[in-house]
Amino acid sequence: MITKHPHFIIVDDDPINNFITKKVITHIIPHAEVITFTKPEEGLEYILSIFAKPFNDKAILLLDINMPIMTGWQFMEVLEKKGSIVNERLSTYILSSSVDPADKERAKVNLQISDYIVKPLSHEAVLSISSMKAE
Amino acid sequence: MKHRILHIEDSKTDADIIQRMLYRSGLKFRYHLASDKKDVEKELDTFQPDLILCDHSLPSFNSKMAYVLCKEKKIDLPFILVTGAVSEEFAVEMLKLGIDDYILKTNLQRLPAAITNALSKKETKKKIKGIRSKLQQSETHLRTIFENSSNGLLLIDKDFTIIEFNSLMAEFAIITVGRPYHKNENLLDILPQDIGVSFEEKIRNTLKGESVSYESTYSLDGGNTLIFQVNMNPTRDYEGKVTGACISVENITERKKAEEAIKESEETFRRLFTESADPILLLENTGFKECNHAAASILGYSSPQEIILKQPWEISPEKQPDGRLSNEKAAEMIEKALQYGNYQFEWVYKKIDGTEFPVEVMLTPIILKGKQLFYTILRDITKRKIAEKEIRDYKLALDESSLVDISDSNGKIKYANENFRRLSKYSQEELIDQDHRILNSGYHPVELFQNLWATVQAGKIWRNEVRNRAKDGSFFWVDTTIVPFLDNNGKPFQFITIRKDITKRKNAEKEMESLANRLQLATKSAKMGIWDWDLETNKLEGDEGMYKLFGIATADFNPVYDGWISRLHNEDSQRIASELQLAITNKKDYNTEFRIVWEDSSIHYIRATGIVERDTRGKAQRMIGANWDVTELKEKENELRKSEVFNRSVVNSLSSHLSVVNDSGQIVSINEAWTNFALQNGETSMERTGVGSNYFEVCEKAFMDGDEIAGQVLHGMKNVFNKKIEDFYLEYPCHSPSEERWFGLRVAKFESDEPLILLVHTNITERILAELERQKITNDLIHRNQDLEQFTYIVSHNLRAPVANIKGLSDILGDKSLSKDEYRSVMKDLLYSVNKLDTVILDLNYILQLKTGVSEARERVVFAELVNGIEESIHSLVFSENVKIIAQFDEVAEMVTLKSYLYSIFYNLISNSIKYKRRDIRLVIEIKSFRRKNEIELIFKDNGRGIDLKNSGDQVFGLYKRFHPEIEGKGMGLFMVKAQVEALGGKISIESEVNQGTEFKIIFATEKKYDN
Repeated sequence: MITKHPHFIIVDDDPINNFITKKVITHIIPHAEVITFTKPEEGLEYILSIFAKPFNDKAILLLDINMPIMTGWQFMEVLEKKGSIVNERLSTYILSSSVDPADKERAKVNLQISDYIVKPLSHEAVLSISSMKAE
Repeated sequence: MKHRILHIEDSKTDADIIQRMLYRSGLKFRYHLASDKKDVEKELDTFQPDLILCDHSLPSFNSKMAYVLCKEKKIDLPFILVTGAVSEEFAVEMLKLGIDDYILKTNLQRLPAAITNALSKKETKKKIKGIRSKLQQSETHLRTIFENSSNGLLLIDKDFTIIEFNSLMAEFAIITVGRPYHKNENLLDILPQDIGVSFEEKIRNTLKGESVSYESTYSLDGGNTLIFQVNMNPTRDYEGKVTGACISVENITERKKAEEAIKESEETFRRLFTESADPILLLENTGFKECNHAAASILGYSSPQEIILKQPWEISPEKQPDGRLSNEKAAEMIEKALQYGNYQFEWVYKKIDGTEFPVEVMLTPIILKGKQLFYTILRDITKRKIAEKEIRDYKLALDESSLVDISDSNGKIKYANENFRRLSKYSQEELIDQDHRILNSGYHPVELFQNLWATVQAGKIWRNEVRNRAKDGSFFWVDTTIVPFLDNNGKPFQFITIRKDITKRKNAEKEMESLANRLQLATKSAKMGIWDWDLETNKLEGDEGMYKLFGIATADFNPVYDGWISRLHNEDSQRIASELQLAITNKKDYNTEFRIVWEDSSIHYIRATGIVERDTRGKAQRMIGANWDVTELKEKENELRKSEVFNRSVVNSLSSHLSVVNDSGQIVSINEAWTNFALQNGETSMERTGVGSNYFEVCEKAFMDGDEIAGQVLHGMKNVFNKKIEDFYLEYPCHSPSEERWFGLRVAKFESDEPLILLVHTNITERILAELERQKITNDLIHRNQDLEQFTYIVSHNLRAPVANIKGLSDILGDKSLSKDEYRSVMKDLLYSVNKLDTVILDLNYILQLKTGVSEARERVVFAELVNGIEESIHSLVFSENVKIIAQFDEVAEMVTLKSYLYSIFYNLISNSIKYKRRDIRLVIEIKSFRRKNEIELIFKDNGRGIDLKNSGDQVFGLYKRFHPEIEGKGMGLFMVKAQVEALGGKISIESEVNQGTEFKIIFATEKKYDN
């Protein structure tokens, strides 16, 4: 079942993509809580701040790969250092425009990453993510 | 406290008056009124009054009856008669009966005082009763103690009259007096004469106030003796005056006996200790507490007393044999004894005369009266130590000289000494539990070992020379002696095997044997003859070979000097005779060649050598020599001479330049190709590389002049000579002013009697050129492949991003619920994405064009002009941003290249520096050129914001990679720079630190130059 207010965190330097992604999510799950970041370091700060609080609900992270300052992979490296807390509370999905098989492979071998989603985010993908999250 | 007052009165009026009067007096009380007998009985039970006031005459009842009623009920209350009229006699009668008071109603004011008085009298009575009861209790207790005491107790007064005695005392009296005491009789009267006198005196002392205590023995008729402990103490009255005596008698016979027994046993143990032949000491932390004679004597002291309070290390040398300080080690031994319950160890003591001697110490901790003591037994082990040392010495001698092992009755090795292990190359672990077959070399027949086993099993010593095999497979010979050790039944229980290494002797023997064999074989196969000429008898004897050489039958030949010499060729015999004389007179070695003529007239070539043996004074005694047939050799030499001409022509026909060099570096032979090559290279008369010149020196000189290849060749030649390497090969470029050339030089061992090497120098230019061409094609392919990968990457990343957005936005457009504003916003984003897509495609096109533009004509580009041109084109920017550009092109001022590309590279790097300058300081851009070996190096250095290479070093030159999102940029600049540098065949690298600046290094290969 979908929990009451699914919490989505979108980190992507492209504001248009963030607009599209948020739109698609709220279309499927109108009560979803969606927060977007175009600067990965701010997104990271936000995630670390919610980890610091007692927080029972899980969150879904949609992370772009190619970003200035900090790539999605570097972003994940920082999160990995936080240990199991990330796996327990955060379902991470790569949301990238890249169709490069090398990127997909890299996401696949990373155990912290649940799946690799090619932009734009589809309705089906949202359903699949949110139902997986409820498990 | 309120008193409960019962008033017996039939007149209500009187009762009221009396009650009111009592209240007025301030007495606190509860008041009940009874008017007849029934009432009185009831009130006595329920009200339980403290005091009764009673009228005399009542209807059918009177005060006397009331009082009697109380007595009958055993109620003892203050009883006050309150009456109007009563006779004097009656009042007296009632007082006698026991009432407390009587008050006339006419004199009621006395009543409160009477009540108070009566109550307090009652209270006092009650207290006395309590005290009396306590006294009785205490008396009972004391009596119980008195009766149950384990001592017999007797109390007498000052006149010796018996006051009290307990039952135990009565029993004692039966023993001593023959009957129990009676109270009130005089003790002196009944005591028997024998004890009476002293007893009386002691009691008299007690009566004076002393305490007397003594033991008294009493013999019974049966022969047993009883012992009593008698204590006499004065008894006193409350003023402290002596009133009598208390005699306490205790039977201590049993206790005395037990004490005796303990004393006796202690004496036994003490004597056991002091007189024991074992040296025993008792140690406590302050030193030795006890010491017996044996211990004192072993330590050289005349009395045990001298050792008491000494610490163990005070009677020991400063250090023990293991080098440890005695006091430290002693402390450790004590610690161990405490840890293990007891501890045995060896120790060295120092006698009083200074001599040291070893003991074995057994240290047992014991606790005596709460004190930690150590029971210490010493055993003198001087003899054992000497015996041990002797055994050690023997063992050392044996171990040093021999290989020793000990095996059990089954032949399993249990011990192997170091010599054995060293020679067999097995470790102790590998040898243990193995039998001697581990060393079997397979050389000896099985029977030898069967004999061995049978001999030692029979208890006899076996000895033989045996060849063994070590772990590494090497063989060694040992002179082996196996000694069986027999048990009581005469059966061997272990064997000691002692071996002497005789490998050298054996090898020498074998060497001699094979030498003799070899000599025989050699002389036979080499057509050799050995001769022995006795100079005194002139006898010259030859072996079988000699006869064969000279073609003589043994039988009809007289072996003298003349017989042999006459067989020589006429032309040689004179010369040989004189050469032999020269050898005999020690002027010249005999080493020559001659011809002999056989009986069939055939001529044979003989080579001869010989040595002269002399006596101690130097006089020649005999001469021994060898002759051998060299006829075949001579013939072959001739043939060789012919074939050499053939070989030379073959060598000369080879295109490779060949030379043969000996181990001192001298060129001993060269072919024509070598000569021609030298002449081509400017030599006029082969003065450097002709036969006879030293090639080592040639190479060394070239190396000193900076020719590294010459150094390598020199090294290679020496290594081949030294056999460090089989052969040496080197390829190197050697371009002449007219053409590019490459050569291969091989140095190989030359098969020959003397150490020689062959140098083969070959022109490999054709092969190298082909290889270079192939390499170029390969590099080109790799480059193209990388470009293709790059293109794929751009398509999947940069082209895909706007497409994904367009796709997503288009889907949103399909949403009917979109508001007008939202719709407009989505359309705006859509347009933006489409434009971005367009930009990417244009960029891509630009990049692709770049790859094809390399075919443009190259021209000479002057760096300074290029920088000036750029500065002019962005003059306003340089001015407004206050940029300082330092250009230094002193080392290299120009290069031949594609001007448009180099311009673009310079432009991009300069504009990048300006774009990402630091706001707080003035931007300084330094551009410099350097000449490196075959390369031009360009350095672009700024003091701008820098890039964090730790995190994004691999992405610096990537397409659309941006590091300063706050500043406008496409992320194309560095990508283009790198692409263009590479298109020009160069390389670019970056070093940068955040807020320190960035340095780009570009390296271009220079045009090829031809060096000698």
